[in-house]
Amino acid sequence: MSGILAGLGALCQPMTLLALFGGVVVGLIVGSLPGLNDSITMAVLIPVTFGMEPGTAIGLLVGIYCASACGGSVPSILLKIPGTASATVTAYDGYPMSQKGKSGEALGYAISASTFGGLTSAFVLLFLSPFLARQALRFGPPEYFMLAVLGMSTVIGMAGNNIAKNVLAMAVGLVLSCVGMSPQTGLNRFTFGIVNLMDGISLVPMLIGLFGVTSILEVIETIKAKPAAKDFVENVKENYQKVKVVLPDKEMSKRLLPIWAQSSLIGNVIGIIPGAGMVMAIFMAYDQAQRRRPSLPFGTGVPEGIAAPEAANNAVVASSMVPLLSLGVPGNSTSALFLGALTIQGLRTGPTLFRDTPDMAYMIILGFILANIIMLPLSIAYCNVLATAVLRLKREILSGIVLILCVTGAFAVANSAFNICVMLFFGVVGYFFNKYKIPQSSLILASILGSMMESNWTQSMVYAGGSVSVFFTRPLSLILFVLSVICIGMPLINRFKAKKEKTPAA
Amino acid sequence: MNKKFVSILLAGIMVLALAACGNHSSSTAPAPSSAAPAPSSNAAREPAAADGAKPANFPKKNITIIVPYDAGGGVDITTRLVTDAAGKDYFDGKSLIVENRPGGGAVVGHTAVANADPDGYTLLAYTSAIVNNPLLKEVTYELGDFKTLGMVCFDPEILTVPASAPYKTFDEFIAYAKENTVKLATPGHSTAHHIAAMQFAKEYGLKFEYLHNDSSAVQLQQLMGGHCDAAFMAVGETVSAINDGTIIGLAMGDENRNPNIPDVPTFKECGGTMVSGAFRGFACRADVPDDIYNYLVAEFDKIITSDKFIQAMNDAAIPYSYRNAADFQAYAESVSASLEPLVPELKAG
Repeated sequence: MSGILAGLGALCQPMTLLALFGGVVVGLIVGSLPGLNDSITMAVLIPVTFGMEPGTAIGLLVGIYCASACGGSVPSILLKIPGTASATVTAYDGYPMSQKGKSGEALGYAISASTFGGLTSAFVLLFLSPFLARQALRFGPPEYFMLAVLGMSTVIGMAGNNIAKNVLAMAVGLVLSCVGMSPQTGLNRFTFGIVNLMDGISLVPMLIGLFGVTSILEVIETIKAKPAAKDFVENVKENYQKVKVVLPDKEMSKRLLPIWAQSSLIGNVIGIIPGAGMVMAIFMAYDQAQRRRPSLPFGTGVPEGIAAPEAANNAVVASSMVPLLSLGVPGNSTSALFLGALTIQGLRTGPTLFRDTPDMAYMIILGFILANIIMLPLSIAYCNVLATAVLRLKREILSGIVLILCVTGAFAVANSAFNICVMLFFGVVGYFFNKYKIPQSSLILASILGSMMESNWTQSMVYAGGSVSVFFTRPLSLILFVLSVICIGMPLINRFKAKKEKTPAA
Repeated sequence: MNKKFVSILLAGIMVLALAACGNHSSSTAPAPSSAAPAPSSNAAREPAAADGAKPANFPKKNITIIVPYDAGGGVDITTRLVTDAAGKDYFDGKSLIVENRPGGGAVVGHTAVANADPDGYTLLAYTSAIVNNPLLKEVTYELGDFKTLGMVCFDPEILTVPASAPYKTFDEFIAYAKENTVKLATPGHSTAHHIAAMQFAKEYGLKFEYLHNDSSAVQLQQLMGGHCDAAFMAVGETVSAINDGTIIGLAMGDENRNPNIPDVPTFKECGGTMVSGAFRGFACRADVPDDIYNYLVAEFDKIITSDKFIQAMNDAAIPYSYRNAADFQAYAESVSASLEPLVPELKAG
């Protein structure tokens, strides 16, 4: 308790508060720009933080980390281009809703869910850290493999009625995940002698291509298809004169609360496991929301479809700090940057942090709570301004701006012109996927989880001397396996049942 | 009609994309290595002979240091500390600029420097990967394509085991490993730690099987959770965890013990020979003109031996270790020579 008070004292320094505030603003902006994200921004800012007081430096970084996960949803909803990888799923329901002229509501669902998810994980970090960090250590290669399998099984839930197209997209994703150096033997696969492919296909340019470039291609199509573009523009102007973010009212909050809660739970669990990542959390949360509300038409602008991934991605934020602060093991690339920043400030992570510098340790945690609270009004104000401005632009001009953002974003990831080619390639792929109604989500998830599956499969085999039984003799791995079977089996059983009920009637 | 237009447009974009990709690969293809088969080794031996006086026309603009890793990592931070310490006080008021070119285990960044103009405006953050990559991967450059400007950091290898392991000392571990196959975690195939482990296994006649991860963070988690038998890591990554007691350090690859973990002996104390670790320094293309090269060396020497820089390294807990340009070059070459016998084994997997 004394530690928490000391942390509160450290947090309440004017410079620290100012830095936190500034961090949230910066985070919202970079989050909403496709291609820029929290880790790039923090990496650029860390050298700047050398000269700062520890409190100021950490306040700034905490603000950025929290807000960028929320900011990413803004372009997802308004333009169908996720600002960060963690806002990929938000576009599925956010954009259709925005198209119906309900941008304000959609942004409101995203912001409220983000705040809820972020706060839960900040409290998890405050109260349950050491216990959960010890649990996270139980994850060895077999557990990670089964976790990836569980992640893949959620694709089935999203399959809708077309399992064949879904499996096709998944297969393409798995093949794509094989590109690059084999993790176990170091051999190059599908690189065609291009050194830029040795680490595999870079995720950010791929996502920018699939969403951003694809949507631009689709806009081009509509321009030509409707010579009377005038009406269209006027329509847009009438509908979106001024966007005002509307937070869900009491009734809607009540309806969304179970979704917030279950998505936050998923986000927290995934966040604590080092290396699992935000993208997995948002897909699982969306899938679970669909299962909980099977009667809703997901993908057409359902509030739950926005709330679930947004609560989940912000729930990953603070919980990914659990292994870092308690053990000194960074949970993802962003918290690895925190490790660097803390080290430069002379702070050592792990149990030492709480023993030797409890004020700093608790300052970080309380910073996460505060950042989530001030994120709410700030992001509403930001969205009001930005959304109005963005939606007032002619669609054609906007597409041009978006294309510039896409190209710079893809380049900025690794200062590499090659990534622009990757982006263009996936823009075309995405266009044809949409044409033939093949789900992109399965492709994205499979290409991310594929390498995790592969490397942990080979590791498990080395670890167990080639015996598959290792997946079933370790309790955690077995639990994950059973969960995957349930995830895959339930929709199949339901479908079977539905068929049976139909047959006697007919 | 519309469909036709769209398909033509798409085709156009695809052609553009291919053309851009094509340009890129063709620009990387001409390898400087074939033209200049390591003339550097001699050239770099006596840089001190020249006094490093400022050449007439250099530098006219800022100098770029290419970091072949992501921003925020150890190499990146070290380089940014150098540029920070340099400020505008050196190079005639011009600055050092960091540019991150990650990818392919540093191959992308190495290739970029190898293909840059040899005018001294493009430098490389020169790490252990420059030795490993030409030996183990298909690349278009070799060690001799670069000449060094000075070393700033040496982070020794350390053999670590989980706290729950039945062996707690180096001798117990060796005894165990002689009887059993050890499952050893690395931060990736053909990384310096993987190579160190192979060298170690060879020296003691042990049998290792490898769990290759994609980062040292996952490796550390695996070690703490007891999902492997042992791991080779860098001392700098393990100091906190060893002092917390969550992992055990058995022995490390330096000449002397590390003051932060005084209980961990060196391999030499344990009767071994291994002195190995990750180094970080700076280099430029080998065919940079001598007057410019000597000037760069002289200026870098001043920066990396300045109190400001050493203080910053200590604050950041990065193990500072200085070698001048000539010693560093000789050292990198000796490391490369010592690895060559291992290459067939490494390539086999």
